[in-house]
Order: sequence, then structure tokens, then C-alpha cells
Amino acid sequence: MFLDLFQMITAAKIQMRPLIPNQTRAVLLAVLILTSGAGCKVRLISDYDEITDTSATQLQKKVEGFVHKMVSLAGTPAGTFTQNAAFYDEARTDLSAIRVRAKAFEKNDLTIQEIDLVQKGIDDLQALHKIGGDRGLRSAVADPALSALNTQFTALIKLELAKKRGQ
Amino acid sequence: MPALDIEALVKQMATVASGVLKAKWPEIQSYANTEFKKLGETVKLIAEEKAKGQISEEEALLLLDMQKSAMRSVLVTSEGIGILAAEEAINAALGAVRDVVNSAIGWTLL
Repeated sequence: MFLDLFQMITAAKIQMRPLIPNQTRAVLLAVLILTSGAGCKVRLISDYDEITDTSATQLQKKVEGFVHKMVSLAGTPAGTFTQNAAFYDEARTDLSAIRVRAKAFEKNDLTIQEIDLVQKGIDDLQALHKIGGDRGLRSAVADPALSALNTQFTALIKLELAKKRGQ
Repeated sequence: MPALDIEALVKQMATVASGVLKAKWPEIQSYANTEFKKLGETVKLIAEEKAKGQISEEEALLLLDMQKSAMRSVLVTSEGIGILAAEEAINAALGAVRDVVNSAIGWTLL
């Protein structure tokens, strides 16, 4: 019967006066396409991944801990970018691992976009630290930078949690 | 086999779907608005630090760039939540008409 209905809809498109209004036909066609797997629920985004969630949370803690430490060391040799360059390489590696995993899931493009934005945030933090020179990462600069980065981590984790779909 | 009223089915699905989407919009809107306010606060901070001679133009540009990236992140998540809401709306709409359609057709299609 659905095939008859589909053929009816197709035939109706050719005629000048459609049997079913345009909007109704569009919805019906969308339903037919989306339900082509009988009994299946529609999935527009990948499923929740606990490892992405916990890895992002752990990296956020690491980055925040680092920034607080740098603020406390600001103005001292131990707080300069040169003395702490290795941190940025580690953070980059951690984030790359999260990205590689995210890419393994289908329909996960938005999460990958979020990860790339966090990467940009860390790159900008590194640039700020370098510019600071002997002053290092002082509070006036570090506080808004950390706030922006935390927003990005929250966005990434929030999207991942939303994929739980009320589980 | 009972007859299928397609128009009624479509109306029912649309009603259920729009209800789900309306319920999600306030969450998305308030999340995005919070970040717009933060951008304003970043600009204010930069102005104050510049007045004290405590920030360079390069640093100011980086801080603003970080806040813009943060806003982008929020909007990407809002888009994701919107897509998930659309998905939920579609599945709710299909669920609302599942029994009627399956019994009218005589096959488990939905």
C-alpha cells in the first residue's frame, strides 16, 4: 500500500492540481525516506561516547591546573613560556587523541568542530604566554583566557552529554 | 483493515514535533545569550587594562579571538542540541502514529 501511495504522490506531482497539498507530500516523503529501515529510530548525530566525555573533562582539569600554577608563578623565571613549553605539546597530544577517537564515529562532525575550536583556544593561550615574556601568564590575561577555554570545554562536554538522549 | 487518514496523521506528527522543539528552544537561547554577555565583559576588561597600560594590542586581539572562538563553540553545541531536538521530534512524531499506521497497513513499518 505504501508503494501505491508513493506512486500516487509521484503521479500527483506531474498533474497541475496535486491530490495532496505540497507540504503534506513533503512530510510524507520525508517519513518514507527516514523510516526505510522498518522499526528503526532516526539517528541524526552519533551516540554518546564516555571516553570522549571523560578525556575532555580530564584535559580541562589539566589545562585549568596549569593556568592557575602559571598565574601563581607569574613574574618569576619558573613561570615563563620557555620553562613550560612542554605543557602545550602534551595538551596538543591529549587533544589529538580525543580527535582521532571522535573521527572514528559516524555523524560526529560537530564534536570534531568543537575539538578543533578547543585546539585553537590552547594555541591562543600559548601565544599569550609567549607574548608575556618575563611576566609570564599574569592574572589580567590568564583569567579571561581560561574563562574562554572553559566555555569551550563545557560546550564540547555538553554536546557529548546531550547525545545520551535521556538515557 | 482501518482506512488511513493521511492528512490527520501528518497533522498529528507536526503537532507532536513542534511541541518537542518549542520545549528545547529556551535552553539553547539562554546558553547562547550568556556567551554574548561574556564577549561584552571581555571588551570592558580590555578597555580597563588598556587604560592602566597593562595590556598590549596583540594580547587584546588574542583575548577577543579566544572569546569569539568560545562563542563559536557555544553555537556549534546549540546547533547539535537543535539537531538532537529535531531527531527527538521526528522520533516522537513517528511514535505517535506508529500503532495507527502499522495496524492500518498490516506490516510493522514504523
